[in-house]
Amino acid sequence: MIRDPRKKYIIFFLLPSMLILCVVGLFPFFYVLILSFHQYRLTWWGKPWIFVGLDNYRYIVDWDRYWKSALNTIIFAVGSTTLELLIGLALALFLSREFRGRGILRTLIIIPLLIPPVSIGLMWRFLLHPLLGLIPWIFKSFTGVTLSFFETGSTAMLSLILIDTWEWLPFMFLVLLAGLESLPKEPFEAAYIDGASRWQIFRHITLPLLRPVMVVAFLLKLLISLKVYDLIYTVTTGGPGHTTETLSYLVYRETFAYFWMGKGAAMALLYEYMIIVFAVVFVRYALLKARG
Amino acid sequence: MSSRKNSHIGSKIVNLAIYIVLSLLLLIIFLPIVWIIITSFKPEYVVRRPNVWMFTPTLENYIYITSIRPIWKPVLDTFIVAFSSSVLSLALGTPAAYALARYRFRGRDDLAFWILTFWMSPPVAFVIPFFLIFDRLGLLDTYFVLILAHTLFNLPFVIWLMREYIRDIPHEIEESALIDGYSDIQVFMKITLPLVKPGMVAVGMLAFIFSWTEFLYSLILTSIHVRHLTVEVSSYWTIAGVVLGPMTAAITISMIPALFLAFFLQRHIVRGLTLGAVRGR
Repeated sequence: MIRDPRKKYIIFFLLPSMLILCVVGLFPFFYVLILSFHQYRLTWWGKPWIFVGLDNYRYIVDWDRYWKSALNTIIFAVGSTTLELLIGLALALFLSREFRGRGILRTLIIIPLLIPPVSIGLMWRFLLHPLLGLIPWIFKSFTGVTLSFFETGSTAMLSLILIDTWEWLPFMFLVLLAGLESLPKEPFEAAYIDGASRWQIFRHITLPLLRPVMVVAFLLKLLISLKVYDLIYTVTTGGPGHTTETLSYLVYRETFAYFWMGKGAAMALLYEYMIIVFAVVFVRYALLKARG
Repeated sequence: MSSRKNSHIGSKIVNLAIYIVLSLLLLIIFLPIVWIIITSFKPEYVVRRPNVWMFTPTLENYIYITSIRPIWKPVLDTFIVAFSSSVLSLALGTPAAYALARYRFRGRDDLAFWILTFWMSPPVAFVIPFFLIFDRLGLLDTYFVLILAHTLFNLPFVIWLMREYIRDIPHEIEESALIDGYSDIQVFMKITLPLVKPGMVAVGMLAFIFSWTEFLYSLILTSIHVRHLTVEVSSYWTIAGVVLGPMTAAITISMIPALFLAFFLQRHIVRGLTLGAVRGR
């Protein structure tokens, strides 16, 4: 498109958005960057910040709890996203054919994606509660054993991962289904004529052709899960101990429960850098690649 | 002949298997939701006992959440914020998306991705400065601050996705309008906007849902005068205890937009949540 003399229109179209993003995005970003070099507590209302240089960052680097919660975040994100990808792929392969009720299925199945995660968290906390919950009760009436999901760190984390899977499996399933439907027919016909087995077709044709879609779905869901906060807040509040504490939750606690704003700012920024680096290195590439 | 018969039986088995898998899937998805809705109609003495199946349905939980802790204020507040934030994002974001889709300029793709990084950033990194800045301005606990905060993630989303929808429109239409003497702004207003309207509706609904389901900004930036529905719902189960029956009623209320919008969004959700990278059907 040759529209060089019209450059002024670019500014006209872009300016309002850019102004808003500078006010609500860029300015807060620099504000929190400056704050991260200071000590400031929320209980000091109005008093000036105290400059401490890199002290906040030094503190974080040596702080086990920060890195433990970073690990928890990664375990949660990778665990849930992998599980969803595997189940979603199996379901999409199995259901990528015509059957009655497909349209209704597509409508019904997206409902978990549209419910507030806070409601999902409380819903499952109730359903899994050892005394009040439906699921421990069903289990107990068959085996006599009382399940308690949130008493040890590993079962609490596993429960969170399963709850997340309930919410996000529809996303994986639908994305992979859309990916399967958009694949060209010819390679499959050719392989079929050549007498390839089902496994060979899956391994050497479906999987490679579907890979860009799988990668982009995996990375985007991973990115979203790395920011997890609502589920932790409503289901486990980081417990038992700090075993399910994620970075978002730890930063929230540090700032709005213990009021260490400067330290919290440094923690939040380090966390944000990690996510942005991940996004720039992997997600950007995958987005371009999947669109072709 | 016999092989055809076999394949017929085979396809019947496959069909049966499909419906078994489907039933399981729908059971897993809907059992929790249905259980919550059933519980919301249980009287107080049954709510805490999952083994009681026979009970007389009651509205007492809904009476609780409308009279004792009125939920209409949070519902209305959330609607106002979600609606304003998505309309604002559409109004500002669609022209920006148009510029990024239709003009070639240096650094365009980097700019587009830079915009998207605000959507990607963890909200907790922005809620800290938002709180301190708007506290100083005396604007905490207002619609204004929450609409702005939600616009921070909705505007990048709208720009990125509207760019995809605008790219779908053949640009020849716009070029012939340019030759007819339309200015760029007229082309955008009179040619592109009408064509991209269905996309705007879909993207607007998605932005509405993101704002409707948001929690962290709402929890920190607002409290009494403005109250987000997710904050209200979460307040039913805290360390101080749980008010179970009314909580399930509140959760049921919070799910209503999902039940409504699922039908309209099913054709757009794949594209929306993959930021346009994967096209739905």
